[in-house]
Amino acid sequence: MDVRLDETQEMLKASARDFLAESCPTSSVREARGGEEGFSRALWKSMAELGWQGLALPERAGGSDMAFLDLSLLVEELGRACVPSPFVETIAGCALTMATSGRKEADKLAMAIAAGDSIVVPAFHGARDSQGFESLPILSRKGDAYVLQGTAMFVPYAASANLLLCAARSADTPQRDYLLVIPTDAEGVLCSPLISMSDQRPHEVHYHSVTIYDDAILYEGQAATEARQRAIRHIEVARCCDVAGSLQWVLDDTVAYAKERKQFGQPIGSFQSLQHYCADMRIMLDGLRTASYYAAWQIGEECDAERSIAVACAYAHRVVPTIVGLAHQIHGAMGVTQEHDLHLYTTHALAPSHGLAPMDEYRELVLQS
Amino acid sequence: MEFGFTEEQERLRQEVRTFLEEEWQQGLWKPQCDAWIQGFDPDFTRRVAQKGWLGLMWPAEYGGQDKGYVDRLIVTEEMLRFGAPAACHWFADRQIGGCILQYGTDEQKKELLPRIARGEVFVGLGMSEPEAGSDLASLKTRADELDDCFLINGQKTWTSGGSYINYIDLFARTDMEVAKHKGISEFLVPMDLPGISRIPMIDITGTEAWNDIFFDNVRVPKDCLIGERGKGFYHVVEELAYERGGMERLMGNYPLYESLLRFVEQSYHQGAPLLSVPGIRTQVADLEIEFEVGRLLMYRAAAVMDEGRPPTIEASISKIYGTTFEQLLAATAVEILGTYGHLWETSPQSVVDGLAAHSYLASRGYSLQAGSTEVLKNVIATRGLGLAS
Repeated sequence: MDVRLDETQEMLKASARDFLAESCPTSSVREARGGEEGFSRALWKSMAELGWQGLALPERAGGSDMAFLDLSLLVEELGRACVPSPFVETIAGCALTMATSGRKEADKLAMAIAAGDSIVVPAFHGARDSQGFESLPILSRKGDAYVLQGTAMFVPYAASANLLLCAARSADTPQRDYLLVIPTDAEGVLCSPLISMSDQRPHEVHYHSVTIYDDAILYEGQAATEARQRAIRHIEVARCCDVAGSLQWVLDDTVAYAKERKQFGQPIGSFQSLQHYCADMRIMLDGLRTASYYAAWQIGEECDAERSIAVACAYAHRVVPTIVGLAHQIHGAMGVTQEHDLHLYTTHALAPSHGLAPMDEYRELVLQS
Repeated sequence: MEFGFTEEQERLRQEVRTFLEEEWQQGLWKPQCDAWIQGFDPDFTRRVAQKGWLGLMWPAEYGGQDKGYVDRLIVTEEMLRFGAPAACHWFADRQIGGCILQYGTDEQKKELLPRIARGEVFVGLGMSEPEAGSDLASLKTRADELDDCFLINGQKTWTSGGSYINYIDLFARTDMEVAKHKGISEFLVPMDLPGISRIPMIDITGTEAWNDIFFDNVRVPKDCLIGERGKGFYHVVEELAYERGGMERLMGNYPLYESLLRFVEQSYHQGAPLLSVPGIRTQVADLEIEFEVGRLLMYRAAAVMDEGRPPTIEASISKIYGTTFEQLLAATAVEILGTYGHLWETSPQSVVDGLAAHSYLASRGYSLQAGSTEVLKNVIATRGLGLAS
């Protein structure tokens, strides 16, 4: 057991950190978040030129074939810089899924993603019906084509994506799962923005009798069910690492503030209660980071990572609001303004989940695994 | 010891509740979180004033009804329950009037109290400065006494009330030679005096929540001084005990609480009511338990005020308790609602009227404003428990 980063990992993180400090300071974060798309296309292209999108993709898909953990370490730096972008979902969710499908056309699509030319976002979650079940869009046969009908929820940056990786279900009995690749400009596809405090530009996507053909089917049947589950879990773990990076910035900024801000004639960081808060933040953050690294490492080692993923995600849900809360408490009133950068992180570092009652889902997974 | 309300108090509560219920049904306003500090509606304030519910505790000669703190708590509890837009009059009614009654001249009482009771006086607080937050006594805004006025120079920050306030309750330094807490005086300054300017500050929810207020050689009439020169800090200390003890510290987000309870009862999740999910059941029960205890602590503080003594410890306790509850409410809501809880009211698919997102962000400030939790714990530990400071 060795918890140190190896030389390649050190270099990856350091170079990413330096690059982002230069090309994405918080002023750029604000600009990107305030813009129409919610992210910087110029930065996206630069990241591709550095090989970031392709980092963990196989070579035949234009990637560097590095491990999922290495990708997660990179994502942590994106989180530290609070970069708003579809990186986590596009890469951990879609590109990896495409590149491991074994289909040549999918490899080509993955290459386009790696080159920074194409953005694919996951449309994995359906709308809720009256009984509170998520209902995926329905795929029905129509001659030698198919028709897709329904709604996907919380699709990040959908309006900016070229392609959707769409989870659908057949109308047949027994139901069959599908993962489809759908262009966002296909007839009948409508992406509507949700208005969220998150910086991830979530959308509702409606499919109104969208016609597709065999070539759109990336996976079907049990393989589709498993691929979707896997992709969701990969996104969640990568998101935990992103959040860990963000919260490291938050902790560093909080400590710096506590050293500088004086009241009652002394730095507020000299008061024991605040020192304990900082220590608490450190404890929780180290727990979050280590748990996230462990899950990412297990994914790369191709072990069964279900339990470690659920633990990391559940833990994130619990500690993220607490760490953010303590940071705000120490920052005082300044931290509750938009003028100060802290709020950028408060609205970026939201726990990795989807839909209602996520904590109970993770708790169940932990108990069952 | 007894915990009941009088018949008169029950009637008062019912009257306020009916009034608010009817106004809400008529669509005159919408329930909002933090409406007591961000819900500005001069017409609503006027209608509340017409009911006689402002200045409830003052003598009738000044527009009041000679009632007590528990009575006022009943009225404010209902205002908060409905998330009614009471921000215009809240500060004036809560503490400025009481301060004038206690320390003001007869002229000041006659001039200001009836106007507050009529809902015409909207007051912002001029206490904090960029370098004087928790350490309020270190404030630097100067009030130099000239022949015909006080000349005010300086800057106040975190003043709520925006463009609505017509007065500022200003604490400024009248004496440079004495210990810092002994050289502060309190003024009630009209906002339309030359030399006063403001810059709005946007809070974490995107709301214009506060202002920086700048005083550039502002000539303030001498009759704006409240009480004795140099005694301002002592007013503040006592005023704060009353400011902290209010129900707004527990129920500022009551509309979210109600919405969340309704949502978990009425929404289905994977075939069963959300409230039947064991983890959620526990969390909701815990919220209800915490709320009930908090409400009792609030009424206890008001009962202490009616005994005639400042609730220094009791209000510190209820303020810490209340703001902790509000943060728990926000965290619980976002945990249960997940990504749906991030959606603002204007979003498609939003739930609980988009209030979870507001509270998740806004609740960061509750444990800081009007006395940070840490400072209040110091008060409890040292003055309440006798631990060495």
